[in-house]
Amino acid sequence: MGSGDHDTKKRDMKILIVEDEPPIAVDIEEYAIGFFGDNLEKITSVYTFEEAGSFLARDCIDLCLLDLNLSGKNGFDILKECVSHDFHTVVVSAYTERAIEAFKYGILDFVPKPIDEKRLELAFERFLGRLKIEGKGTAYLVVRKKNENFLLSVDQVCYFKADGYLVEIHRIDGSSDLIEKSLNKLEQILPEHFFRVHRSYIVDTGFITSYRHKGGGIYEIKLKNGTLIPLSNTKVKILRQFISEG
Amino acid sequence: MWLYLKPTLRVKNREPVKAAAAYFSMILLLIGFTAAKAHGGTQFERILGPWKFYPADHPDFKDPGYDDSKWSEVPDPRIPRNPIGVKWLRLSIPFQSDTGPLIFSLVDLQSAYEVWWDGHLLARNGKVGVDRVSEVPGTIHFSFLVDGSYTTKGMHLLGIRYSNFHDFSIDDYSIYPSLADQLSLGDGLHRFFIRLILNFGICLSAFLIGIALFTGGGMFKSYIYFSLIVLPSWLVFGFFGLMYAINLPSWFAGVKQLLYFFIYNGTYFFIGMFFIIYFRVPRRYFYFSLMILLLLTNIVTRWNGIISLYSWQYYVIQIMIHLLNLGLLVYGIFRKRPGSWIFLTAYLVFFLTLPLEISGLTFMKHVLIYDIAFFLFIFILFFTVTAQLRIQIRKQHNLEVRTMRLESEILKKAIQPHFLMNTLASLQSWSRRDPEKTALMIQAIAGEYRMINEIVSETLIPIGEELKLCRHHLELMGYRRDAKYELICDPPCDTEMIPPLIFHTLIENGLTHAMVPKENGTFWFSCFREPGKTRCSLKNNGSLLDTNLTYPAHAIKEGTGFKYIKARLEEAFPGRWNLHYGLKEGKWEVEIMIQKKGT
Repeated sequence: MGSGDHDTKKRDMKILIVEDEPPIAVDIEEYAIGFFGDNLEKITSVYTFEEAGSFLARDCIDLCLLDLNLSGKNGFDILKECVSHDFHTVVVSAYTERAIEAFKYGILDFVPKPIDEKRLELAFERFLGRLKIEGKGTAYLVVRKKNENFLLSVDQVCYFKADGYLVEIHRIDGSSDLIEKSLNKLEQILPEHFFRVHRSYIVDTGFITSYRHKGGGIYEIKLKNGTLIPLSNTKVKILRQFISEG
Repeated sequence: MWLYLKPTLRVKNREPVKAAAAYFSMILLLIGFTAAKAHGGTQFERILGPWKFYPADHPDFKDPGYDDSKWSEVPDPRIPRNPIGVKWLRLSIPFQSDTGPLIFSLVDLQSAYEVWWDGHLLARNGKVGVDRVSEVPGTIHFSFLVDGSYTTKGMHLLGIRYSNFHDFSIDDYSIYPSLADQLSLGDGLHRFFIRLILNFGICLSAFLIGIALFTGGGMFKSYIYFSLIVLPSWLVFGFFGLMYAINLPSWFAGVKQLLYFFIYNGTYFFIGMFFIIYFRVPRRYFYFSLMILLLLTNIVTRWNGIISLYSWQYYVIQIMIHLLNLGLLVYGIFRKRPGSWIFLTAYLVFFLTLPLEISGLTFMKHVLIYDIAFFLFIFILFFTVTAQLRIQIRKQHNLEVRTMRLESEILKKAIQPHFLMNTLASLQSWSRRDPEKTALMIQAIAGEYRMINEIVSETLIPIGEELKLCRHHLELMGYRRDAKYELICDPPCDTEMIPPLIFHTLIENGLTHAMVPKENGTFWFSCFREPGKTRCSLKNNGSLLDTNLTYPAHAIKEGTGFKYIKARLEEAFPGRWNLHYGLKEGKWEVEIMIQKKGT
């Protein structure tokens, strides 16, 4: 379900490395510079969560490479913070047994330590959208409300709608929230049953009841709750195929 | 799993056997006691009267025709101690028919007496005298056969002429005259002895079990007080048995009276002491003093005759002792001390014997209620003490399990895959840039792992070994965090024994929570031997230290590291250590104080 249309193709890429062991941070930096080359505008390493927090508060980044266990603290707190922003997160950690849990929070990839350069490059490929992400397991989305992060189960989401720089999340119960992540990034990490039906919409296919041709090459989808959502004519064929495959 | 247990700890685990034995022996004794009680009764028929009493002597007093209607009446019979001299007791006894030979028995009358029947002298116990020299005390028990020719149908006069120059009682006292046929007297005595022996056995067992639990069960003081609670009762029952086995002089009745006095006071006193110790009452010396003061007041006032037995002043003191004990019980309940509710219930049952006493019934008359209440109380006391013991054993066991778990956790922490993977990642990094540093780092890893392997299963290791391990760890972490760490030991101290990985864990905490990567840091270790104790301190600096913290710091969430340290200290020095930490002069300090055994 990957899309080639990614905003990460831009040349001014910014990467943040959060790692409490300086020699390892240097390694990751070198690997990233080697991979992204001239596309990389800025790469920064920080050693503590506090530094990471203040960095994220003032700078925009495209990719965060995060160690899960920093100075004995629970990396999932910072992970929740990271995934609520509009950048991708790749976890680089020795805690491989927590990879599945990390994926549920919507990370792009998990690279085990000690770092294999090839494995890290694979994560970078995924970030660029050149590689399909297998078995995407995001179970939660982090919604930020009044500077607090809340976990929202993706099972409760009916569809996503782009709204300027933000994305509206529409729940089954009719309520909605806003998140900072772009539809492109969401599309990369959401489970397979979420389908990009339109440049401004991602829908949980389980909620689609029917679609129709309104005439003039315009299509629309009807959801179980009666909501009508535009369907790009380029997506009709894929949707039909997708639904018939179950 | 049990392979890790130290032999001394295994010995302690025999405690449940002891506790169970004590518990079951108490149940059996109680069942035996109540069964005997069910078949028993009062010891034998006591001639209650009311008797007529006159504190002087006259030859006419023996005559059945003498008019004693002006004499004072002594119910129960409970006779006045004073005045000392020759006195008379008279009682008219009607017989509905010819009764045949009977045994007259009199217990506890002091000091010498003559028994008159219809004006005839039947028997003498000792020799009635007009002063201490002329009086010869008789025996405490006195009995003789009254011939059938005397016990004919009709009214008879029983007269007792006695003198009490050898009177040892401290107050008025009860006497036990009886008239019974041989069979019922023998039966009554038989029952009485069974009960006596049972009571003696119960008290002796309880006393000895308390001593055994004290010496074999960790020297908990409450066990000793438990033994002391039953000691007065045990002595009295023993004395009773002795009294019947040996024909003691009559003045022993006075000693018996004193013993009763000590049963009451001693028992309540030791119960109070037991509560103070068992409930861990603060300011215990204040309560000890209060208890002793009440006891002394009771003894002194009674001894000097200032307060007589069963007077209102006597009951005021008794009630004050009870109230103090109840207060201690309420404290136990308030503090949620184990068993405090059971103790209160038992104590209230016990307490009920007091109004029965106030109501005018004598000690011996409500002996059944008293005994049941007392033994119920003792039983519950024992039950709760053993329950407490079980809790302590469980705690000990949990501590052992926790130590083992923490030992494995700390081992896991030191050689766990994450630590290893992160170390390897650092090593990989250095290998790409600095082969010399890589070689040194490999040596540091090997050094640390070798030492951990040597010491982790030891209960105690010399501090020197621990510090060596800390240095290996600091060197390794220096490579990983690209910083320089220093451990300064002043004054040098290598020989004191401590549980392993204590300071290693503290250093790990210091690195994690006080220093950021690339920041150089220093640790200062000191160890002082002081009289009766050893004080070790580890300080560190670091930019992450919270300067708002104080010493000792309280609002710190203790992690696995601190739990491990505390469990290891408790295992090695049970109840003899303490640990404080906090910020002192800009440095984080953890201080461990270990008291020497027996100080």
